[in-house]
Amino acid sequence: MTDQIPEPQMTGAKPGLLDRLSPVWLVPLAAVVISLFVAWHNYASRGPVIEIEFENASGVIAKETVLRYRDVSVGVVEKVQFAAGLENVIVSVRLEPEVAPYVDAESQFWVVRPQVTSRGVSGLETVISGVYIEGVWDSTPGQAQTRFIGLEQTPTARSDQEGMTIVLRSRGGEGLSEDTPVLYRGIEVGRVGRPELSDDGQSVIAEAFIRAPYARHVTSATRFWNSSGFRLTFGPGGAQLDVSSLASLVAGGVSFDTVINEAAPIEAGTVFELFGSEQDARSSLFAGTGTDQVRLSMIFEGETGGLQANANVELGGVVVGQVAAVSGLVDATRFGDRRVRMLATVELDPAKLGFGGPEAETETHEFLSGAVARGLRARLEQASILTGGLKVVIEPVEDAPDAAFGGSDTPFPEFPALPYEGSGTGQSVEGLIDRVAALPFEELLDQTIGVLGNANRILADENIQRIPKETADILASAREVVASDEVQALPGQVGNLLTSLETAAAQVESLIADLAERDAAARLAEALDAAARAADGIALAATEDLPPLVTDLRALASQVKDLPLSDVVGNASGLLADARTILSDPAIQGVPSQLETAFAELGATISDARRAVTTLTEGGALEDLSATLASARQVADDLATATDQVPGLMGRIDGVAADVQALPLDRIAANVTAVLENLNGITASEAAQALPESASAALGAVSDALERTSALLESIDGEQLSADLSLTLTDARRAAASVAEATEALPGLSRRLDNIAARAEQVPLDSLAAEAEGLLADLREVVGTGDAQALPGALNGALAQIEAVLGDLRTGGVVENTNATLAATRNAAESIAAAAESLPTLAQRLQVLSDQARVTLASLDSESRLYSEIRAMLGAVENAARSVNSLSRSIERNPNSLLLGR
Amino acid sequence: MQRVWAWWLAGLIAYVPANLYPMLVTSTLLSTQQSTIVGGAVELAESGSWGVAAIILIASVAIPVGKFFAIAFLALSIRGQRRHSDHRRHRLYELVEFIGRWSMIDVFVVAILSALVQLGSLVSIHPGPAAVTFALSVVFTMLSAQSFDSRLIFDQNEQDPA
Repeated sequence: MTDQIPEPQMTGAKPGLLDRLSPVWLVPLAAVVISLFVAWHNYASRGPVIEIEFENASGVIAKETVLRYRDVSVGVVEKVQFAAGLENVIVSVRLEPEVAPYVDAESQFWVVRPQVTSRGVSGLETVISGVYIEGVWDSTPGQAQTRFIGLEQTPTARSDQEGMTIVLRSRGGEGLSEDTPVLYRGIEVGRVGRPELSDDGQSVIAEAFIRAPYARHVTSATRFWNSSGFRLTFGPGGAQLDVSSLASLVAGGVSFDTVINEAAPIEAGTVFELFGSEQDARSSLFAGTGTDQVRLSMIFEGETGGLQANANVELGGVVVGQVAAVSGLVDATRFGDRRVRMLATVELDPAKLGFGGPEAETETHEFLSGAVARGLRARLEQASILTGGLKVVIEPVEDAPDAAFGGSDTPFPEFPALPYEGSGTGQSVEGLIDRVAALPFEELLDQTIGVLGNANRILADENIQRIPKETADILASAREVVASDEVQALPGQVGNLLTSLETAAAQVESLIADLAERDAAARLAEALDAAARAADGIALAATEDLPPLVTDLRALASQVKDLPLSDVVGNASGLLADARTILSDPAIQGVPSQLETAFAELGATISDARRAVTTLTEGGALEDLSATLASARQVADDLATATDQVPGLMGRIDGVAADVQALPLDRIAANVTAVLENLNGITASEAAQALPESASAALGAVSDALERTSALLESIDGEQLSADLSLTLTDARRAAASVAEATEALPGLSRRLDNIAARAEQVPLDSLAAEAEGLLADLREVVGTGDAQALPGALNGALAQIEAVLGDLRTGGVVENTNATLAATRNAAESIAAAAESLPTLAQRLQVLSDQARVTLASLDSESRLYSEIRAMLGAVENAARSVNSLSRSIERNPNSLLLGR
Repeated sequence: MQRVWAWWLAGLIAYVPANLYPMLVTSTLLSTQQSTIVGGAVELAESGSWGVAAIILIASVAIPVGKFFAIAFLALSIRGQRRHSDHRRHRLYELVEFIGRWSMIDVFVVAILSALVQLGSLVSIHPGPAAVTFALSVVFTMLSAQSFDSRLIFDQNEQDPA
């Protein structure tokens, strides 16, 4: 400031200087004075300039960047310049005069920059206003100082705060991050500073500042642990979730606690171990784990891959420490090669060895050195077979190589160790574990999850979930049903049903008994007996009495031969010829075939009827059947009536024969001749010749009737039917009995015929014999025809049909009746046998008849009455034959009439 | 003549802090900027506004300085030898008289800006201490010029022969 006020050039000092001066000069004078005052004031109000040395002064601008104390500007940066060597930046700050006395040696300065951390945003205002320099100093004036070293970071412990700074040490650095809060019972009492690596690089250390009121809780028995985040533990008490505070959840936190009261106070800067969890911290407290651990180095050779940090170090079976770190070591000068050996840093707890106090480390070293001298060595052992982990065991080894404790090659005193002979177990187990690890657990889990998901879906399905309820409902319904009156009454009903069945069985039984009572079987048996008797009689008559008859006939023939009966003979021969003609008639010869056919038809019809009858189970059919049976019974009755007349006829024949016997043979012969002529005529007549056809037709009709009968027999099923059957059988028996009577009457007839034959014997009947021979030949011829020979086959078929009928009868519920019928049949056979027994008598009678005939023939000449009688008889026979013929024709035309009774 | 010199001296004294102290204090949300006259002109020139910078320099620096020199020249020329014609000195005097009032243009600008730009804390412009001293300096130099008796220019002619 050029305050050199120029001296006014005062010339002409005639008047007084003051008089000549204008008062205007006061103005510049005042200006000068004011300027001077302002200048002096400015200078006087300036504080001292201090120089702060920073490594990095980014954002610091001269004249703009201010120095703040408690957020109040107390100075301005005047100048930013480099220190010598350009290593640092020197910031000159002019302080405010008021604070200048307080800025002493303890002052701290740092540059505040905007900072975003997990704890929040700080220094946000510097984004706009630019950085500023923060300074802290205590509130007591001290020795002024103008040169300071600036801090790079915000200090953990500000010098204006009261409290205590300690050092936390963590092996892995967990929980140690800048600005992490230090919590004491959940209250933030301090901060953790910036973590740094320790000098040996084995751990992370960080300062922590505990504020004043709480710092007294930190003693030598205090344990710090990492409470950052949350901790989920499972134990007997269930799952436990520990969250210390929301802030620590985000930014982490370090908690501490002091359990033991009897503890020594600590000094600032004491190192505390930071434990991983509260449990570890508390257990270490009771285990006596001190803060100062003795560190050793051990060098191992061999396969030491299983040794890892935190492996135990055992001395005499007691865990005295842990492996802090494992690293490699290459030292060619010491070992002579460049192989990599393992350098393990081991932390021993002196308290475990019984050493304590400040001299613990030294005492431990002394103890270890003595132990090494006594042969103690460290070696590796398998800690876990499964994981292949190793542990360090310190134990006496015999013949140990010479070694000494200590040494300067390693970061810490070296404890001699033995090479590790890696056991194969670890390898194999590792291989096993590798294989197990290679198992497709994830796929398995996926599939399991899928299966569980499906099962879950199935179980979650509403239908499935309804099953138990529906099952319960069903059971309830079943219980209801079972408990219902109807079901409870069921046994009773079943009992009733059984009773009814019993009753029905009894009724059936009684029906059968009734049938038995009605004697149907017995009657059938009787009928059959009668039939048998008749058959027997016929057989006997035919077999035993025929020879005498033949003899008589022969005699008669001889007598006849003696007679002059050429006409008769001629007529007879003509008659015989006619008879032969008749016999040789195809119709007659067709009789066997017709019979066969009839039998076949009978079989077929029986089978058809069997089929039909099986279908005839409806009520109407049965009624028809019963009606039919009634008709059949009527027919049988008629037949029986008809047969009843047969004896009468026989009697008349007998009478005729007797009359014949009484005839004079002479006329008889002539009459016979005439008769024979008539016979010839008769036989030559168409009616006679049609007789075989009619007979065969009648046989067919009979076979039809048999078919129907068998069908009826099959269908016999019921009381009415059986009653009808029994009636029918009774009628049949009566018919059979009549036949038997007829056969019984035959002997008489045969006797008379015998007489006739005997009389005829006297007639010269040579030609007649010849004719008879021809007749016999014809008969033989008839018999010899294929059809006749086929008769047995047809008979067999008929028998088979009958057998089938019998089988049907048996199955038709009439087995007993069938048996009875068989018995009756036997009876009939017996009757026939009896009838046959009477045949000899018949033969005798025939013989008598022939004798009488002989007599008659002898007296044939005189008495012509016989002739007329014979003629009448023959006429009656002719009439009968015609009647039979018409009957057979009518039956042939209308076979149903036999069954229907019309 | 004493008054001329006295006012001249006062104006000169006032002119010194007018250039040293900030003329304009611009307070924005982010920062507070203090600019002196010359500093502001230099900034304008650096930012490319040569015209404005030239006007400010001429109005605030060249004219006041020229006035100082002109008044000093006139005052000295009265006493010393006459090297220049009277007419030209008179013309110079009239020029000083005329231009003197225009020197207040800076003060006007500052006053107008201060009145207009008052947007609360966002932006505000305050006149700095230099504004007052500059105004004083201008006033003093005008008074100095008015104190000058132009007749003295011609009086010297009459005295010479005498």
